[in-house]
Parts: sequence; C-alpha cells; structure tokens
Amino acid sequence: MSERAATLLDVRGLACRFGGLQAIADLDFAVRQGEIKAIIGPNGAGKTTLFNMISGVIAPSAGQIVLSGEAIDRLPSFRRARRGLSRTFQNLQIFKDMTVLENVMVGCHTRSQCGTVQAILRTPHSLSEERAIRDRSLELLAKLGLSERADEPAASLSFGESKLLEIARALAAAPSLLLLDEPAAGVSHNAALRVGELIRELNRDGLTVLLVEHNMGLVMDISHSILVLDHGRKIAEGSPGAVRNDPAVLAAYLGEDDDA
Amino acid sequence: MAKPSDAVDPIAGPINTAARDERGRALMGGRSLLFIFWLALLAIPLVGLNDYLVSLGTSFLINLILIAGLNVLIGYCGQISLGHAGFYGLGAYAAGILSAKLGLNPWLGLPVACLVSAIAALVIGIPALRLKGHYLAMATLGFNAILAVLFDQLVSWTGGPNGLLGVKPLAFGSFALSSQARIFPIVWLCAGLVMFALLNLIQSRVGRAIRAIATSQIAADSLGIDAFRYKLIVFVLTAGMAGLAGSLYVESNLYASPESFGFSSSILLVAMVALGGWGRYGGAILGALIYTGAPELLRTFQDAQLLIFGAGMIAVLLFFPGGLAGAGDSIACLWQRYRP
Repeated sequence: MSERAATLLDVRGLACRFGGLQAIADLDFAVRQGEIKAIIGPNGAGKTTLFNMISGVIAPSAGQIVLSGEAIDRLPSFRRARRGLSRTFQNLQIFKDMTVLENVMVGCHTRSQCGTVQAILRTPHSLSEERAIRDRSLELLAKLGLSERADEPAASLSFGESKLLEIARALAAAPSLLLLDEPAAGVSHNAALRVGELIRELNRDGLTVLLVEHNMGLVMDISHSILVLDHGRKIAEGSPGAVRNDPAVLAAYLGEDDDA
Repeated sequence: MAKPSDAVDPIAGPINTAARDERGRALMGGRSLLFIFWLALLAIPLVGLNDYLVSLGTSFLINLILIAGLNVLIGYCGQISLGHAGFYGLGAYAAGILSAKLGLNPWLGLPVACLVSAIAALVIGIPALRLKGHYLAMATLGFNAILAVLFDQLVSWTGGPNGLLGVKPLAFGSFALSSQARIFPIVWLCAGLVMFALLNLIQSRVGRAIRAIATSQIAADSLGIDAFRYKLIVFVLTAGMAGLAGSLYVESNLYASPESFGFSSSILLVAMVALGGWGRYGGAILGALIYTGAPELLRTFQDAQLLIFGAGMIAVLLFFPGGLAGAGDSIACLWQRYRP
C-alpha cells in the first residue's frame, strides 16, 4: 500500500446525536484504497455507531460520507451495499433457518440479476446463474475453512464459525470496502490469530478493510493505520506505532485524565 | 467496484463437484415428487363416485392456491396478510360480475381476477410495506372489512346478501364446463401451475432474498437486498394468486356470496398456514387438506364443530410448533431424546 493511494472512503464532519447524547461529534477521517484501517476506543466511544452510519443502518445528524467519490450518506443501506460496501455485525446477524451455504449464496445477491419472472420460469439463464452462485459460495466457504459445514443449518455453527460465515457472506458480494465489526471478539486466541491472518490475506488480494476491534494485539499486528475514538471524538489517528505512544490515547484507555 | 459479470470469477480452491451434483439432485427430487403428486390428483374425477367428492377435490385445489400463496408470504417472507379472503373474494366477484352482469366471455374472468386482486394489493402494499413492523396486517385487515361491506351492499353488482347469481360457466365452444367433473381439470391445471411457480420461486435467488428479509432485515439490507421491493412483489403475486382462486371458485360454483370472503375466513387461512407448518412447502398441502376436509368430517358434530376444530388446532400447535409438516422433525427429535 502506498502512502499516496487514492481515498476510497471519506468521512467529513460526521455527527450523530441521540437526544442529549452526542454519540459522534464532528468526525473527519479517510480510508485509502488498499489499506487495513482499525477503529479503536473504549466502550461507548461510538465505534459501532460510526459503522452503522457508514453502512446506512442509522442516519447521521450532520456530515458527509463519500465512497469512491460519490456521496452515499443519503442512500438506503441496500444501495450502499450495491456500491461496494459490505459489513459484518458485532451481534451476529446470521440467517439461522438457512444452511451455511445458503447464507453465503444470499451474499451473492448484488452479483446476480435473475428476477422473479425468470425464477418462476426457471429459465436457462437463471439456472446457470444459480450454478455460478453456488460454485462461488462453495469456493468462499473453502477459503474460510467451512466447506465441511456447507449443508448444515447455520444455527448449528459455533460462535467463532458464525463470525467466519458472516465474513464469507460479506465477501460474496465482492465488496470494494469491507467493514468488520469486532471480527475477533469472543473467539479463542488461536481463532483470533486465524482471523488476523485471513484479513491480511484478503488485503493482499486487494481488499480494503475497515475494522472495529478490541483485541489490541490483532489491531497493532495487521493495521496500516488506526483511528482512536473517545466519547465520539477523534483523539488520535496514525500508524500503530504512533498511536501506541500517543498521550491522549493512553489517557483515554487508562483513565488518567478527563478529555472533556 | 467490479462489474456484475465478475459473479462467475473463481476465487480460490477446487470445487467439490460430487457434492454439488448431489445437492442438485436433491432439488430436482422435490420437483419430481410434486409432479407425481399432481398427476395422481388428476385421478380424483375418475374415481370420484359422485359430484360431491369431485367438488371436494376442486375446493381442496382452490384452497391450496390460497394457502400456498399465503404460506410464502407469511412463512417465507415474514409478512402477515389478514385480508387474503378479501383478495379471494375480489377475484371471485370480478370474474363473476364479468360474465353475469357484463356478459363477457367467462374465460376473461381468470386473468381479470388475478389482475384486479394484484392491483388492489399494489395499492395497499406500497404505503403499508414502506413502514417497518406489522402495518401490512393492519392495512389488509381494514381492506377486508371494507370489501366485506361492499360485497354486501353493492346489491346491483354483487347481488348483496343473496349472492351473485347467473354466472356463466367456462366453455370450449358449445361444451360448457358446467359440472364439477368438467371444471376439475381446469382447476387442477391452475393449481399445479401455482404450486410449481411457488416452488421455483422459493428455490431461487429471489426466494433466498425473501427468506433473508424475514430472518434479519438488517443483514439483508447490508447485502444489497431491496426489502421493500421483494415484500411488495411477494404480496402482489400471492394476492394475484388469491384472485385466481376466487375466479376458479365462482366458475366451479357459478355463485358467490359475501360470507365466504369475510374477515373470519382470512383469519382461518392464516391459522391453516400455521397448522400445516409455515415456511414449509408441504405445509400448505396439509393446511388445505384440513381446511377442506375438517368441516366435512365434523359436520355430524353440529354446534360442537368449531370447538373440536379449535381444540385440535391448539393441540397440534402445542405439540408440533412447526405445524403438521414439522411433526416428522418433532417426533424424530423426541425419539432422539427418549430413545431406549
């Protein structure tokens, strides 16, 4: 990743207010094409709120979100997904009554076109597209090590496996920017290492990743740049080395000082 | 951002073709099973000893269209319609009035009934489905109530409480399909087309999107699925099917009266979806069997009919939450637990 890579996601003056609570205040940051960027901060810093605003789950009170040069902050969630934004969820949102494979097949939605009429008539095009979706989904499951579970109900997966399934499903849309909401939370140490390796591998293949994560070892290990939030404000941004030694960050995490 | 044509791009690793073929066969299995079942149904008018038994077969198929459509809407898409009997009635009166009052060719009634019910669903669905929550249930509830009044009060068109008389039978030239045995093949064909259409739909990209919306709309949104659009498509499609069922009803009975299309019928249809097993394809068949057969079997009990029917329904849903179609799973589960 070069320092001069193009900006993929640009967030300007973003704010979110829930009644009297300022969840995010006047936030500016950018994600460059091809980088792994992490957002960290103490609990309640506004990380998941920020993710929800970028993906369109909640509307910002002010500010702009630009993806590949196009303002997306007014678009509904599904249109942002069609413009190349994929995400996973901190509190899993697996389609539990489908098989593991079907979950990933749903992820291929934006990469396929057959509509209701073609589905009902089972046109040759719809059948060949269905095969392509199936093959692509099986390949993704193989990549994430879930091949064996393909035909099992998604509800039967462990927590860690469900997290991987969400990543597979998000990848099925072939996103330009992948948002990962705590991909290593609640999984074993080894599983967290595997997730880190996976993210790095995806990034090597050209995927830009923005992640929220509490596992500092993982964040410091894989991120090219880190954004630190506290009480909805940016308190630091930069390389892992710079952020680690930033006095404001240490204060926020150790609670030595009040930043308000 | 890559183009949609990238959908077929390989990502990594070899594909397990054996597993894929096996899955393909499993899907085909469902389709051929349905085909055999459907051919077998054609025997009803041949072995039916009298018009009464054949008319039960016709009612079963008409009810199946209604319940199977409603099952896709409720069980797969997660949207509740409490006005399905209204769409059914709208189709019946549209087709009936067309031939009885306007003197048009009765065959026109079938597509017109579909269209009228589908358009009504479109008008209700566009505002109601934009909102999150159970607004569709409320809107359809109101719609059914309004229709019930109209069927009853527009006497010059619908015949009011006395019912719509003078409906002309479907005919091939001078060969009128005026008996139950003659109309049966038409109903059989229409119901078959509906059942295959629904099976194809739920086993497709659209079907997965629909199920995804019902399970987690937030996740479906994040994957680029336009929830409003798919909910509307399913609602309009299944309302159109209910309209078709209505036109078949009026053409097989040559009569329609308001009490068949009231709010209580809508509730009963939803109950049949639950009883058969929602979100299970075979559930609709069981639901339609009960909906058609139970009133006939319980006829000897007279006033206790509803009581027995209601108690039976509670018992089934208590012991088999997945409905009768899920009973196999429930029993297998119990067997696993208490196996000696």
